Amino acid sequence: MNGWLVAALVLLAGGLLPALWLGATGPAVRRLIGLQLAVVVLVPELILLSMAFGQSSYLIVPVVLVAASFAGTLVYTRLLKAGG
Amino acid sequence: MSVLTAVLVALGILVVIGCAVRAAAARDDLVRLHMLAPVTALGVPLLGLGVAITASWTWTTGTVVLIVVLLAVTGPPLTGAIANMIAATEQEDR
Repeated sequence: MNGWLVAALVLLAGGLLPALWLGATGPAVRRLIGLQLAVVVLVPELILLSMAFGQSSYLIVPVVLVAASFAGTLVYTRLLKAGG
Repeated sequence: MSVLTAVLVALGILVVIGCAVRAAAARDDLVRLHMLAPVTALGVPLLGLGVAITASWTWTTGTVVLIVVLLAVTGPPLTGAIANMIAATEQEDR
């Protein structure tokens, strides 16, 4: 158990749980904000985990996550706006 | 993990957790949206700086800087798109 892993566990508990709760409850708009919050919490989480395991090759996952969530969230806003 | 790195990572995590809890506790969607900005503009960069100090001049630092910049660049347009959608749906409800 190194410092990076401790930091990753703290962030997982303190940051991801509220985001998942927001993303799983309430109206669609609130859930979309929860999804976006979960992404911006998950990106540093993945950075910490890659440092904790000493595998810098894992960093490609948050890079792809940021790009994919950008496109995905824009599609969601488009669909929610159209759906009313 | 050096002391400076630990302090930067801890500060970054505090900002992210504070914003996540504040967003979960907020009653208004626009207040929740505002909680995303400090994460992408302050929390993740602090954490990235901590990683950069540890990894120094390597591909790891380069990738982390890329992630931090991507997140900082894509954050505001997404927040704007979501706020736009909230305004449009509220307009329809009236």
